[in-house]
Amino acid sequence: MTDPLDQRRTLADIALLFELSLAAGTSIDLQTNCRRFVTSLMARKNLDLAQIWLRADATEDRGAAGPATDALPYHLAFAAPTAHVGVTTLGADHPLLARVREERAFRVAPDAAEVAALLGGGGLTRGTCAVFPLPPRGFLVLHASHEDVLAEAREVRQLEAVTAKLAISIEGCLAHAQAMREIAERRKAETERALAQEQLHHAQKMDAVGRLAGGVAHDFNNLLTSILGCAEILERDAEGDDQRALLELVVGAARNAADLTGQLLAFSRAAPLDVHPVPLDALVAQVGALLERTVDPQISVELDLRLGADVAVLGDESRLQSAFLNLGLNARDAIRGAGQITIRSDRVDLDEEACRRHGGEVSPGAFARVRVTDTGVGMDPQTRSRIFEPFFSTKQTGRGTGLGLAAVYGSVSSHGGVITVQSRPGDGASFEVLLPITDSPRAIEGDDVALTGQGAILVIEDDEQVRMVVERMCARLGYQVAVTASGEEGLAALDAARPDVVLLDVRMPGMGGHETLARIRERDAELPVIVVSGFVEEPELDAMRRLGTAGFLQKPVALAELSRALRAALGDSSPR
Amino acid sequence: MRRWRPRGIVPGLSRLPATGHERVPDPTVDGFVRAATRLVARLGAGGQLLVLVAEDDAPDLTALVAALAAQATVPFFGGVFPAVIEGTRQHARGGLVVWLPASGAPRVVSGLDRDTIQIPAMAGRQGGATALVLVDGLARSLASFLEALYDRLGNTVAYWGGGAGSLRSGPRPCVFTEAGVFQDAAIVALVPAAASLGVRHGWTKLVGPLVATRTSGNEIQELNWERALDVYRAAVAADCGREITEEGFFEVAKGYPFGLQKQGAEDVVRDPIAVGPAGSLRCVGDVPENAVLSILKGVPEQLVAAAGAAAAAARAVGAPSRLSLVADCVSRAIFLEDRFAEELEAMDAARGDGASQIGMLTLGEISSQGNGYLELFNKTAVVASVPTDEHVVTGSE
Ligand SMILES: Nc1ncnc2c1ncn2[C@@H]1O[C@H](COP(=O)(O)OP(=O)(O)O)[C@@H](O)[C@H]1O
Ligand SMILES: [Mg+2]
Repeated sequence: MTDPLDQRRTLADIALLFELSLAAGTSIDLQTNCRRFVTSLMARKNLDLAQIWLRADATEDRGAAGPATDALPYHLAFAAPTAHVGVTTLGADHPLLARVREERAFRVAPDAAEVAALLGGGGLTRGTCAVFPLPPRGFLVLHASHEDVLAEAREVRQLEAVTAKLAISIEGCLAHAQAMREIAERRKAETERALAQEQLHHAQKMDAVGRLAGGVAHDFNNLLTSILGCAEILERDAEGDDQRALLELVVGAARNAADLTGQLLAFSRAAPLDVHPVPLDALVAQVGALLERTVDPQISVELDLRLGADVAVLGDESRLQSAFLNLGLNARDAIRGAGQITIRSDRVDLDEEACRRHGGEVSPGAFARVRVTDTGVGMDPQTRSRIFEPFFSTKQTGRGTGLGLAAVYGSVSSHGGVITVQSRPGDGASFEVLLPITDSPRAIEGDDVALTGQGAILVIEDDEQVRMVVERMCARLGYQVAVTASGEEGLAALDAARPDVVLLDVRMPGMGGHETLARIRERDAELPVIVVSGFVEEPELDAMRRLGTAGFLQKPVALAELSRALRAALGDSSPR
Repeated sequence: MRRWRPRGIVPGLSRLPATGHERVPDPTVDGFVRAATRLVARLGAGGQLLVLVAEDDAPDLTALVAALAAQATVPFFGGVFPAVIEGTRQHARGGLVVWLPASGAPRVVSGLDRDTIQIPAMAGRQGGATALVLVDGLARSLASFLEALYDRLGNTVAYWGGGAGSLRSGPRPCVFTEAGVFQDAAIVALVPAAASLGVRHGWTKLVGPLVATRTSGNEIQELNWERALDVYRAAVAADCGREITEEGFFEVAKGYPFGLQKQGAEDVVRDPIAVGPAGSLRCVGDVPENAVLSILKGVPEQLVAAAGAAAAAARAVGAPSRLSLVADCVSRAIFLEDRFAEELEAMDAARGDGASQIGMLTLGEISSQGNGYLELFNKTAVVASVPTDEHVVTGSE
């Protein structure tokens, strides 16, 4: 049947090979290139099936340190018809691959172990299979049911010449795809970098404004401390209801002013936190109840709290409370007429990728998520981009201070959390707060009672008014008080007579609070020192804590707070 | 030479299903409905009806579909063809209704005027199946459709079918199921038995090889880097002894089609039907660029003999067949003229099993040529022997 000099047949073979070799490399798209070649091949050679397999490194990016190519699996890259696709991956140790690596084409029965798993769908048990290596990292499998096709070794040798062309064209497609991938990655990296820049700018701006606000608040607090202190003392000694009523007004106004500076400080991230595990659902429930009482009855407040009673965040409960309240009040203000405010809480786990999306401001782990959603007027992108700036408000003068969200932002950040917002005009707004979860919960509690006590107190405070007020307060609580106006003076007084507790200011000319504390510790490791300040940055406070402190008091200091701090420092078995 | 065996049929073990048909002499809706009802009464409601309508005075297809949907209790599908075949005769009027066992309802694949074609979920059947494929023979994307169909079903079924429509009236809705009458669509119906197939045409090589150096879809623009018409004219003129004009092109070209090489089989015929702009040649069916072609020539004796060979190749081995489905190209009938009757006789005789020969003249034929790649053929006879013990013929004698 095979006459090597059969001219007609030779001519037919050449014609066929000519057509097939031109069918390879007609497209730089891998699938299109393979389909065009395979379609011609199958039609002319009367084949049932063609599959193109490529080693994993053909389509996946692989670092220079990847495994040796012999250890890589092969994947099915193209198949016609898909009705007969069997397995789609071959492990590196599959027996077919050893033969492919020898780089010569070979024929094999369709039910032979090397290829049987590749041919699915049934109906291909008869006929012949042929496997053609596509160097450097692929191979082609053909199947023919027709008894005259792939029947001779010579036919396989002929086809090798064309499949070599296919192999080269596939490498071309892969190189093209790789280039496209690299371009896409570079683009992605560029947009990510732009995003990071933007986030950095935002953070820097907030930081600068925060410092400014913090500085103002510091001075303001000192003033308030003396006003409040004096007023409280006078209130105790006041005679007659008229005087008392007036003093109450003074105290009330001063407290409001203190709240405002508190917000400023919260925003500046400078205010130290009074940190405890706070069960968040309980806290949010309180906020919800409070909101319900303050909003118009046309607005419904819905709670959907799913954190559970044992889930807590490490934080300052009053600041967290005011943060959520602020979100709720903004939601209220955004709703015209009837509407709904929904507060949801649940737990989410953030991975590296999710943290990156949050601008790297959080690190991976478990987070409590609180979402405050309203059906209000929503925001356009310009408004949305500015809402966290202090003093930014779209509300009419007297209604908005523009400090609410700035404070929320500061509070959430100083709790190690993030806040994001989604909103479109007319479509309501949804604020999402993520706070890292801690382990041990604690019940919310609080009281206002000033507790008296006994012992010697040394006050180190540069501001004369504050010094006076604190002195009076301590005396009022039953303590013996010595006051000094600087770190140096304080140390001298301490050397003269050891007090039971030191009340230490931080910001002082000359020897500051931090250094004073260090010197105290050189003399006495045990002496309880309560830090009192209006404006301390967290790192500095941390450093002082490490030296050993017996508590922290935020100016302006309230009598009850001072009393509790002193009792606690003296080892009294009172709460906290 | 080995014959293609029907897959999965073990003789004597499973009872083969019966088939049946009835000729409808008068092209009335009523005539088709009555034939359908009689067949269902004889063979039951567990099958499907293939309805072949001949072109002359054909009834309104929408009315036919509505009437069949209302009165036949089984799924049906069909099309309009230049003529139908019963036994050794062709009829250009009336039609045939054929009862076949069914594996699921016939599926309509629409959008054969688009480039990408969605094939609905279908599966071959354990134990073998035959896909009967009727297409709108004048739809643009027949090659893409067949490629997609083969991708879906592969070698799990045998394929038999052809193109419906009319050379006279041009593109229009021509295939149908109870879902409606469709243009640019195909219908795929599965019969739960693997037919054995025979595909032959008998056109022989006159000139070649030639390379289709520039093509676009079904248009050959250049042959051997020159205007296609010039090359074709020069190659054919000597043999036919006539000048080839653009107007008289079809008259000559019907006797000299192109052949695309196919290993282990005859060339696949591509019929040039018209001269396009700038001397290009428009064919029925796509011609890939750089395809190597021959120009074929028709000799009536060889065509008739080839049709016989197709029928002989389709003769079932192992399983008996009482039904032989024939899709025979309308252009063979046009070329053979009066001698076309000899072709039908040759097929009937070559098979020699006394099975009922039923089918139609088609615009393009479809077969898997006894396995392998699914393609559209031109000028070819495609025969499928359906395994069956019994074939019922109803109607008034
Ligand atoms: N839920 C909300 N829906 C629509 N706009 C809001 C919402 N929350 C805040 N805003 C916008 O952000 C601005 C700043 O809010 P905030 O810092 O709380 O200041 P204020 O409430 O005092 O205006 C608001 O004036 C308003 O424009
Ligand atoms: Mg607000």
